[in-house]
Order: sequence, then C-alpha cells, then structure tokens
Amino acid sequence: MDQDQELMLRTANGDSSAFETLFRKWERRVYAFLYRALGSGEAAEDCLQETFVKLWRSAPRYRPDFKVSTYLFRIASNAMIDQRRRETRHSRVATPLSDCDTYSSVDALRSDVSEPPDEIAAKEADELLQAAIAELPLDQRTAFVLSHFSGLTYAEVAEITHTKLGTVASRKFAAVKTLQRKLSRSFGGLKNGVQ
Amino acid sequence: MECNSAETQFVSYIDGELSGPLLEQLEQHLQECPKCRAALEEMRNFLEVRIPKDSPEPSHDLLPGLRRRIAEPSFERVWTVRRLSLAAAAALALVAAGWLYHVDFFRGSAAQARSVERVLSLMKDATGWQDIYGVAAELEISQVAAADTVKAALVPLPSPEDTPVEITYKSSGSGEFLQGILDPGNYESVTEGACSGAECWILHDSTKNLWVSTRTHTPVRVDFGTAVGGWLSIQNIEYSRREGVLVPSGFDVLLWGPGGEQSLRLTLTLKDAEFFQQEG
Repeated sequence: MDQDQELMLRTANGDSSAFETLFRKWERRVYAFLYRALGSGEAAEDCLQETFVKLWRSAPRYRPDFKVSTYLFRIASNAMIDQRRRETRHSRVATPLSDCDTYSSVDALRSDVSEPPDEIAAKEADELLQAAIAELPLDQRTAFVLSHFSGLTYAEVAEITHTKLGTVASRKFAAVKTLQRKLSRSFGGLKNGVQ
Repeated sequence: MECNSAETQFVSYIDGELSGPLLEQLEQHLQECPKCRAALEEMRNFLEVRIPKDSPEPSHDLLPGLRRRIAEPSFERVWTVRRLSLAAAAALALVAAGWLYHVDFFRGSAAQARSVERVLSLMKDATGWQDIYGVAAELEISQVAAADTVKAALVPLPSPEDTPVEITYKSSGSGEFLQGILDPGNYESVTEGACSGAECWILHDSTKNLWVSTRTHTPVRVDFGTAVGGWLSIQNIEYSRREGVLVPSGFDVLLWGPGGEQSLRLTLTLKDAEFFQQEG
C-alpha cells in the first residue's frame, strides 16, 4: 500500500489532516487538468473544489486496490464533463467539437492579433492554445490533457478514461496532430502577416 | 515499418511510452529515414515550445473553502417522515419516474415479497451499486410539512462513462403525493438546497407543491427510509454518443418495497438537452 492509499484510508475514517495532505499533493496537477480541459480558471477552481469534496465524501467507499491518482482524476474527469454540460445548457450553444476546417476560435483570435509573432504576449499564446484544445473532441482532449499537463502515464489515463492503452495513444496522437496543424497555421499566419 | 505507421508512434515515442518490438521497429525506421527523423524532431519541438507543460495555478488558496464544504452536515440520513405509507412511497416513485418518462409503471404483477433486510442486501449486491464506476445519489428529505425542507446530495463514485440523469420527485407539504404535469414556467422560486452547487436544487411551484430535482449519475437510489421501506433504482444504463458526449439511451428502473419489486426497461430518446421521453 503506497502513501496515497494510506492517506485515503485515513480520510475514509474522517481524518481531515490526511485529506488536506492529499489535497496539497494533488491540487496543482488536478487543477492543470481542469484548467486545460475547461479553458477557464474560474470553472477549473470550482471543479477542483467539487472534485475534492466528492473525494472526501466517497472516501469510505474507496478500495485500496485502485491507485488514488486514478480514483481522483476519474472524479475530476466527471466533474469536468458535468461542468461542460452545465455550460452547454446555460449557453444553449453547442460546443464545436471537431470542425477543424471551419472558421474557428483559433482563427478568430488570429484575426484579432496584429502584432508580429515575437511580440505576441505569452497570455495570447496561451489563449490560442486554450482555444485549440477546447475544439478537440472530448475524448481526445481528455486523453491529451491528462497525459500532457497532468503528467499521467498512458496506463493511468487508460484506467481513468476506461479505455485501452492503444486508444489513449491514438487519441493523444490525433490531438497533437490537430493542435500542430491549428497552432502552426495560426503561428505561421502571424509570422507571414496574414490577418 | 512504413512512414505513415512510424508517424503515428511519434507522440508515444516522445512520451517514452513505446517499448518492445514496436520501439525497435520505429528506431530502426528512424535510422533509415531522414524525413521521419525531421518530422519527429519537428513534433518534439512543437510540443516543447508551443505546448509547454506548465499551467497556471489557482488564483487563491482553495483549502479554506474546501474545509467549509466538507464540514457541512452529512447527508446520509433517511427520510424522517413517519406518516407515510408504503403506498404513498410507491406513489412517489411512480409519480417521479412515471411522470418524468411518461410511462405506465405498474403493468406487471408484484414480484416475490421481500423483507427490508432482503431488499437492502439485494441493493448492496446489485451490479454497480457499490462499484466505484457508478455514481449514486441519496436524498435526505426531512420535515416535509408546512416548512418544506428537502436536502439532497450526491454520493460521488466516479465513472468515466456516466453522465447526469435527471430525476424529479414531487410531494406536497402534507405528505400526500400528487401527480401532475411539470410546468417549468410555473415556478415561483428556485433555490439551492443543501446539496452542492448547481447539482441539485429545490423548486416550489405556484400550487405550493414541492419539487426536488437533482442531477445525478447511475445508479440512483431513492431511500424512503426503513419506516417505509421502498427504493427506486436506475441501473444498467446504456449510453449513446451525442455531440461527442455519452448520454443515457436506456436503463432499468427497479422499485423495491417490503411488498415486492417492480422493474421496467426504458429506452430513451433525447428530446432536448434536459429531458428524455420513452421511445415506443
């Protein structure tokens, strides 16, 4: 039994200090996943808190044959999906999923930028990245973000998303290729003065 | 290995996730193919430069708020209304599910009678019920009287495949359960209950009937308390994909009580983002 599992079992017995240790250990990586998957710091903070509330409440049902990281990110992944559904309901506007060839928010951002690439603020570059990630299909986005930003192995991502290892690899590859095409295009367009 | 096949392994290779014969084949190909070596380096450079792995951190310390949240009263209590009969509880379940899904529930005969303990045992052993791949909801309903108070909370057991299912319960302040048609435009107020955030809420309509709606996951249990002894469970949900999101397309509804068990398989079509209707 590893340290996380011991902390989780103590949490199951109502030990809030063990729970807070888990929170401190994992909050940044879970937040990174939620922030990149949702594209909003505010939504990510809400979801992060919700994730750990659910972790606390479900702790008595935790089985130590599961890794805590897998258990935690599965909760976070569900919270992210719930959040996305809430946003969709409220906005009543469907999120574009994979219309890579249509006018996209990346294109919209690009058209608003008139500075040469070496003067693009880091924030704008991050916005471009976020917009491109947001347009990935949900399964690709989840696999990519869990692996790339939260540092999880493909095996862990496969367990969290209930898929096979090869599926995670193919989803991440597809996501990277899409991002490469979109971001290189937008970056290249900027470099060449294309508005 | 062909160039096309090699390219599909680039990301896994960069991530250090390749091993065995596939790794050997890719490295062999890379030694022989300058075009793929260049493409690999381009992808590696793209990932390092354009998609840095560092991400922003939360804008403030979330732990104090989290401490408050987990200190909230436990929801794992049962309905305290003792005046209710099983018939009323069953009626509630029927109204809840039957109304929502427009289904005539009691088409079959009552199954073999079971004791409350037996029902509890069945619930514990039910597929997915205590499986961490499911998410359950329990409702605590107390003081269903003049000052209607309904608390609901989610018991989160995460699932990669689950998706929220809407269930709605209706009761009047007297403990009698009235069947009716939900009129979303008829609400006087919408307030959040003791449940978390936007995941459940309490509604009062103009007839003063109390509606509780909670967004939850499969399986669902509505606990009417041992004084009444009834359970409504939604299990074995099948999903279909809609706009890239898995949504329920069918499930089993099971109703238990000391007097018996009823079950029905529902197939659903998504009318809109929020409501489902029985198909056929």
